[in-house]
Amino acid sequence: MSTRLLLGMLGLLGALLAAILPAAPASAAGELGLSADGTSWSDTLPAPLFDPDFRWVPGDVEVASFFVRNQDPQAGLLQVVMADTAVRSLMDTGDLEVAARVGAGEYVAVTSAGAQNLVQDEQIPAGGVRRVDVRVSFDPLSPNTSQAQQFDLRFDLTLSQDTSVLPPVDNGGGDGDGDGGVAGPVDGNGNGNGNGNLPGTGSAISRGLLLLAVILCAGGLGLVGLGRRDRDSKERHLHA
Amino acid sequence: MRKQTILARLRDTRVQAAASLGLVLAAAATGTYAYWTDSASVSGTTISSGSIDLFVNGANNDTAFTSLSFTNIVPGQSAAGVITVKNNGLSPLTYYVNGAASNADTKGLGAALVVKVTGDATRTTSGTSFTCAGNALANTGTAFAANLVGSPTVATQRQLIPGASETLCVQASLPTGAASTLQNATTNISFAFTASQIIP
Repeated sequence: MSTRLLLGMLGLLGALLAAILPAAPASAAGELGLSADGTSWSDTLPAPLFDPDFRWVPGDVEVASFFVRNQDPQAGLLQVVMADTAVRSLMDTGDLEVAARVGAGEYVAVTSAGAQNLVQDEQIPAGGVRRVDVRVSFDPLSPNTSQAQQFDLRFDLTLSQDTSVLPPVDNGGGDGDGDGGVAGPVDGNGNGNGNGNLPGTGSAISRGLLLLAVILCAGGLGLVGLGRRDRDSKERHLHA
Repeated sequence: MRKQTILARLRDTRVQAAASLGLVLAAAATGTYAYWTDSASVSGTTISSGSIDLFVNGANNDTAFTSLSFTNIVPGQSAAGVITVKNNGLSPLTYYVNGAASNADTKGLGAALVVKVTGDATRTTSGTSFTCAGNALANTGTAFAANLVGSPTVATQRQLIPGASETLCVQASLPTGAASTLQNATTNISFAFTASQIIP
């Protein structure tokens, strides 16, 4: 196999790799703030939403709330998913209903286990706070088969950048903290939330891939040069 | 032949340039995909359903209860027995008791007995009789019939928290004025306990 063919194949392989490698979203931390009371914020809640010692019986209806804050200078979209958990026998009876809503919106309810979306693409502006209500209802007509069963209730929350909203213009050095709602830098990794830039954003391409791209580009240029030299040599040979 | 054609095409500067451009574009297109995302988990808790389980004398069914048995009872005498009721479940419950007296010989001895139900833990021996010394509990009847203790109406029922137990002392007296037709009569007494969860 000739050197050119080898280089050509490497080039194609590199292009293929670059095209198929998944582009992960920018890593970020601290955009999603949680609070049980709307006052104290953290990335976790201090306690479960419902009392673990409470023994549920048919007819019980309990509502618990927590607060979500977008701590990024850009608008975000909130998603709340009831997680798929291993302990689920009570939910499997079909007599337990889990519902969630944002603010005064309509409850979205589910009566079966498994990962299920309860809040989808709820827009939260920069620094905005949303109250999430969770309601659990035990069917009052549930028979004895639902006695002494359990369901591990957990929610997975995701706050993603709202790409439909243009980011604020960088003031070129200001503190960018004019919304008054974001409690200062939260990621602590130097990316800073106060300068208007996205924390940890940028290309998802690794340094290794970039190096490969540079090598392949150099290889391609070399091929072009070799081809040109070959052609010039042939032309000179013909003229001679 | 085919290999030579491929080699010839790869040597073509335009093909090489296009491949290089494609590589750059592919890398650039990958790099433009960027947005932030953050996630967290919220524990709802482990939801545990309760249970109710009524035990009578330490079992779901007591078919060997004999302390009320009385042979050759005569007017003025009484029999008494103590039943222990327990909530063996995880949730509070209420219960009520229906009594029943068989009448196989059609003499009506069961219906003639006067019943008293108290909360005494032991029966009292009084001569040749057995009695329940305390006062009758609220919402208790005086015959072996429906609603002997409480009734289907929740407000009249006895309440037990998880793990709690109480005693019912049942006294059956044959009144001094009982009819002579009740001589050599027999009746079997039974009790049916019904427990329910407390409605939230």
